[in-house]
Amino acid sequence: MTLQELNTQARPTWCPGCGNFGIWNGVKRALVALNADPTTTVFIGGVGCSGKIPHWINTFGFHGLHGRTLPVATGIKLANHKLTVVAEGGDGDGYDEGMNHLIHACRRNINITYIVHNNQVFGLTKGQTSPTADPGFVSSTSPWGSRELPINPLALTIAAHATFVARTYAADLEHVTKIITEAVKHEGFAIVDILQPCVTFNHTNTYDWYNSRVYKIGPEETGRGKHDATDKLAAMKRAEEWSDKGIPIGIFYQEKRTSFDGGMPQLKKGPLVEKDLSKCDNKKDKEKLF
Amino acid sequence: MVNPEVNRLSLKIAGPAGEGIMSAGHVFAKCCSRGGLYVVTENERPSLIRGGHNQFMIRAEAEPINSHINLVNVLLALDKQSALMHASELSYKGAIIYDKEDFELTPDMLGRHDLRLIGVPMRTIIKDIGAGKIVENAIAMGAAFGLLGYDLDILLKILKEEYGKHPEALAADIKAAQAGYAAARECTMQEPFTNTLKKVKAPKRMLINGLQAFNLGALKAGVSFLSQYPMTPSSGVIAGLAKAAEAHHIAIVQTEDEISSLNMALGASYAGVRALTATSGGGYALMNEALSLAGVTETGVVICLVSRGNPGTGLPTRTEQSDLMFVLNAGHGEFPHIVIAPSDPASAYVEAQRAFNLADKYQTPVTVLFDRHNAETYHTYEALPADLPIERGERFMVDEDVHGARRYEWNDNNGVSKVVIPSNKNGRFVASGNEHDPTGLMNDERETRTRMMQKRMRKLGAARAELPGPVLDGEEDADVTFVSWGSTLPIIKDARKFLEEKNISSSHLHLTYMNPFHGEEVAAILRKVKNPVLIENNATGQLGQLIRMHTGINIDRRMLQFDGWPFAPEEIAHRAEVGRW
Repeated sequence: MTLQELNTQARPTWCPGCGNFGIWNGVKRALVALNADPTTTVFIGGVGCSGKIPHWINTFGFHGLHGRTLPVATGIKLANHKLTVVAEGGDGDGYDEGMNHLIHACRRNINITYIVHNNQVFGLTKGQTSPTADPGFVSSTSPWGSRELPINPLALTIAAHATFVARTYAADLEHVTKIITEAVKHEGFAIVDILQPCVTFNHTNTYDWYNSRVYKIGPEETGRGKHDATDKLAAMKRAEEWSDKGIPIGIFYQEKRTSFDGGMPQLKKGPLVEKDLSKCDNKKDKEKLF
Repeated sequence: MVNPEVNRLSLKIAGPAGEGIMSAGHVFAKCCSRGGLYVVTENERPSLIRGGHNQFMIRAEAEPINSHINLVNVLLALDKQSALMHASELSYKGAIIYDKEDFELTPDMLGRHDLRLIGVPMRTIIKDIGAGKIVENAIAMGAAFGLLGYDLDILLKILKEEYGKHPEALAADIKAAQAGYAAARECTMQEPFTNTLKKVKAPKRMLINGLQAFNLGALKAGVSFLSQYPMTPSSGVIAGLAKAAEAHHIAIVQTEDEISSLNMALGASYAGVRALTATSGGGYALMNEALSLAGVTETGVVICLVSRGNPGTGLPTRTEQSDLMFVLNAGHGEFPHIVIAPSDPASAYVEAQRAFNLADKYQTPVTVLFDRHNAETYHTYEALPADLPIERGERFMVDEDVHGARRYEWNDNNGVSKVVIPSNKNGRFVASGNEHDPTGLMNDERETRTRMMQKRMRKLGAARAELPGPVLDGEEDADVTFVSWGSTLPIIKDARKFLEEKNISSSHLHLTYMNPFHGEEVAAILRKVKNPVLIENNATGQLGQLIRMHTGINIDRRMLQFDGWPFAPEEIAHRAEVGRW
């Protein structure tokens, strides 16, 4: 499979220079690197600029409601666990509307990948304050500057028992590709929060702003100490880092735990979609009622 | 002395919640069924775990019956309050079985001098067998058997079946039942009771309620996925199917909320399996957005809605038919939504299967609308109705090559395009909540939009044509014609029997398919009948509104009840008799 084959007839409608292009390319490169079969791969999009991505990746797609990518993705995975299932949405989608689903997807450990295009602003609805906006962020909905603290998606999902928690940066295509590849390979719920500049509506968290702060973490020495992704407390500590001195990117936390679908005895005989309905019978269940 | 009535009984067990009233009631109902009688139950309980007041009513007769009745022959009162509350419901010379060592009952106290007060020394019995208060139910049931002259072996056998896994508890229950039986036999030595039960030869019958029947139908239909957030009174769906999940290969997810439930079921259906969710009114409210998404993405799904008393948290454990208009108008925008309201377990069994067929064939949401009354009321059947064949409609099988077929291909006939699922070769498409073209790509051009809306809405007409049309049961010129939907069917059937005894003729138009609606057929029937009367468990006569909307016909005589309780057949018959609506 080539990158070109992953394009559809439609072209992305994002603004020129949008961070979404980096994520889109990274996702496609990861699929190529994984040699994924587009016929058994499903992308689920939410609502927002990022949520439209299933229209622009030539796999199967489900473009649903605002904030509801994870339930749809969970249903798809359980109906046919042979499928590779990836949900994508923005910060408003996942951290506002969909937060309840996110926390439960973490503890459920359903074997899907969740990519959050986190641009710290509402793009498609024209620049309102997002749940990850920095304090003081000025927009049409907070002209006085945001008075709420931002969601910390990494600390939150680590605490919620996600088994793969990572952050990457849209402008670093190689890193995006690498992290998404690892996330899709992971057996269990993998969340990748992606720092994504919005060139039209976020004039605070720009490419320059991120470039001067982002630094990589990993098992090797990167100048800011080695990071052991199996150490939950170390992961939490890194997740708390968000300042002018640095914003870490990389795999924060990874743990081996039986996935929800992997531990479900109902799925052992094969994907439910292959069940022969003509053999469904309720005789024994009826007998119990006599 | 009048001869006792044989095999015609109405018995009520009442007491504080947490005392095992529901399970005792179920055991007694099973005993009646096992003895060859037809059984119908009715239970009422408040929304709490301990305390409050529970009641379980069992009506059992040798001839077929459809509904509970108000009149009670025997009351098992597990506390004083129960005796005082229900004494007025008792038939002439009816009986109260109670613990005379717990409280005293006198005719003056009850305002009834005809009643048989069967005081059983329960505390002594409990002490003698060295058990806990928990065996009170068994003592009371044993006493009822003694009073009714019913074969105690039936009770002992059912107790063994139900509690055989706990030998110690079972042994205590058996001793308790025997002691209760002996105590009541003694009381009836001088004067036999007004009612007796005798084992009759009859085919074995199952004792089944509406949700159990719905679950059995869903199993036969091959349900493979259930996502549900527990909500009274719909939790019987997940509890029932979870037990069957492994044997039948059904993925069960207890979700974080009802928004998740329906979205998850949509995901499962999109991936190719028969998917179900269940809830009550409040949860259904949360599902509205996803319902609309199911419509536009043409994703078939079955939603089981068990209504309770509304609005708000309302009456969580009580019954009401107040969600009809809500369901018919649920979801933003316009999309085809099939709504079916089963009446009794037999119809629940068939309609569950039909719902899955319709969801697959028309690729759109199907709501099966129960209310607490028909979800929880037990009936007896030798056999459930015949199964419907599984019809999955036009769809590609797993891994099949679609050879360029477009998921949302135009269809000017019935609006249905062939379903493509992930894994289909050359079938990649997006199921989009945005308006889209036949390939699924977002498209808001005026012509595409108009044609897509027409394509989707066309499905309703096709579905209407295949649904069984309304039938008037009885004569057009009957003195009264009842018009109803859902859970009231069995109650009205028995009300009509009572009217027949009084030489009042009646007929009945009962509707099951609420959308698509058979407007013309309903109008044709209503134009012919003499005296239509609307019977509904809601405050605004919602079926009446629906009929008027579709036919222009206004039914101005109506009997509405919205106190959280089902109608009783006697009440309906009485109103028809006096002719006041």
